[in-house]
Amino acid sequence: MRQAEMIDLLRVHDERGLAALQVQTAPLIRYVIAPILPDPADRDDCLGDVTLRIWQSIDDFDPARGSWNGWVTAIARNAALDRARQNRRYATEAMDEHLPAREPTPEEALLAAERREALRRALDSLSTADKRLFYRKYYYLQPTAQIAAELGLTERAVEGRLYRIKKRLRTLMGGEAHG
Amino acid sequence: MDDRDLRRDADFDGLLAQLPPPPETVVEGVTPWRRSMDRVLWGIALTTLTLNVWCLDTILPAIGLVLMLLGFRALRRENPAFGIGYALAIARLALFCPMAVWQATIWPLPGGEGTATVLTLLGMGMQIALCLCLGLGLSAVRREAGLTSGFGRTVGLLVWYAALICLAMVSYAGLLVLLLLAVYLLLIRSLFGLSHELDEAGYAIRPAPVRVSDGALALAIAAAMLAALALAYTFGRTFPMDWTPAEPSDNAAVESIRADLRALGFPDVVLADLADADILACRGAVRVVVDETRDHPLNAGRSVTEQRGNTYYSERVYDQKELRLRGVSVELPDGTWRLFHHFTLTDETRMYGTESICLRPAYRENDRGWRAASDVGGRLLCTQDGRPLTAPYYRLGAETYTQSSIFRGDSRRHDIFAEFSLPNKATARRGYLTYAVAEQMPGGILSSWVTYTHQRTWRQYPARTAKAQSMLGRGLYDGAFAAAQDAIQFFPAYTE
Repeated sequence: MRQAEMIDLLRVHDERGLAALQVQTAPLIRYVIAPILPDPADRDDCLGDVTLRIWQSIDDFDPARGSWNGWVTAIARNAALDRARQNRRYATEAMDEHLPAREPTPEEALLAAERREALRRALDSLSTADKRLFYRKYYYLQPTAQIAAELGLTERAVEGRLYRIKKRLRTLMGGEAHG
Repeated sequence: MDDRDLRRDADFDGLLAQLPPPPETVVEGVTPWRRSMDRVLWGIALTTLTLNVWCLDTILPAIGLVLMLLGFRALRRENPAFGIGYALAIARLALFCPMAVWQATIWPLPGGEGTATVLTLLGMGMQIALCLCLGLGLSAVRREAGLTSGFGRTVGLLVWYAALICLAMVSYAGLLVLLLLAVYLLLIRSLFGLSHELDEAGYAIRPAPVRVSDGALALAIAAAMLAALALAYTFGRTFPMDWTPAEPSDNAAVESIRADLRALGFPDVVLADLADADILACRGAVRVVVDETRDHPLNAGRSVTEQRGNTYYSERVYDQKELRLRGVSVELPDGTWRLFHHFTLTDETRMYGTESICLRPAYRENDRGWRAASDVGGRLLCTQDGRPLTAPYYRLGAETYTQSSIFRGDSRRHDIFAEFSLPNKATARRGYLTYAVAEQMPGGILSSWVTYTHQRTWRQYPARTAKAQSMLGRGLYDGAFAAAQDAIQFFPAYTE
């Protein structure tokens, strides 16, 4: 089934669209969540979560704002991170239950927003190849070995390039000023 | 690293955890398969298309084979079809590289045309097998991901490839060229349609890790090829000549004949170079006819434009004429004639590989006035480090071949070729060819032609000998070669 046809069926909540989604998009979803969730059982559960989220929020997909793969990738990543945080919270709940949650102050929130904008501008100045490498490591959270295999590089070469990219980003973001 | 640096690193890493979603250029590029698949597809495309200019018919396939190797290398562990594809890509490159290097030498392949044909067919077979491995590998990936196998596009690709090979094996002209072009375009379209086979299933691929990065491997292959080509050009572009010291003659009979020839007007500069056997063959000479000495350029000259009135005249001017050709004919007591074609090169003439002399003898097929009265002989001479040296021609013999011309069409020729190489660090480089003819029809012209072909640069690929260039008949200045023609022509019955 073609992708456009599948999306149309999903929009009208036709179960044939869901069946196609489960088959055609599963490899992409698994690819995104695998580096974040090491446990196979967690991955299977997360796959179901992502499929459900897509089914429920299909109306939020706007082709004018991005591609289908980009939208699915974002949902899959966020779902995997949520599950990973949930797993960590269960593991540390006993230790942390007496510590109060700390919300950022308005000043801290404003500073964080400025820094995120500075990072976005700095990222825009990177080459496409460097951007892809950087996002693979820090957004997709892929391990260095996976990045190296997929890019035909050695792990050492990947680490070296990431180091240089981070250094460049720090310099572009003002270096000492963000210490 | 102090606490401040550590805090800064932690802050930056915390910021990275809040990365905004990636732009589309990043999303479409973060795949486990696209890089390797694009390389395989481009590799197949570049090894299919050939452009016969600027050595692109070698460079593009070389790049394509390396791309295929790198692409299949990443996919080699995914399934057996890709694994076989990787092995075939290595084999194909291993077949191509030595052939490409060999073509930089003047030496023919062992086994000649037969070997070339077998290797070409082997390469074509491997190419089809690679396409098949690609299609089977893609199908396996799709099946593993729970999708239909999608082998249809591969079948289309194989059909177009087979059509291309069939057309390429037929010598053709005219409309079939358009058909070939159409098949090429359909082939490329099929190829890149294949990449969509992995739009969904490709995310399940797990590329194999590498110990040597793609870039390092490609650079190593390129460096090895360049080194091999440099060696081929250095050691494979000249004939191995057998230079020996030229001893002065101490034969009294030779000296006597030499004196007689001198008395008849035989030029000393040619006489001094003749071997004893060639002088003895002129015993009892009754007449010597000396052709006009001519100097010939072996360079492109320069264009000079002159205005005379309202008209512009353009001509080519040669400041240097590197080759001197002389012709001497000796009439012998039995009525036969012994001909000498002598050449001398200026000391400044640089040598870059091979030289040749094409002799159209007086007894050639379309001239029945003369018949051969001896074999063609001759020798080369030079002075190196003050020592006079002499050598036989590397190869001297008759050749029957077909020469194509846009004016004359295809013509069958039977000529004598002398092939040789001359040392750069030598002076007084010269030589001659000699043979005897007997008259069959009195009163006719005696016409003996030579074409001297000189290699004027080492930069040629594939490497061609001066003789091969001469046989093409492409004119006096073509590619890496320059040529000059001269002739002995006179009417023996009317010349004193």
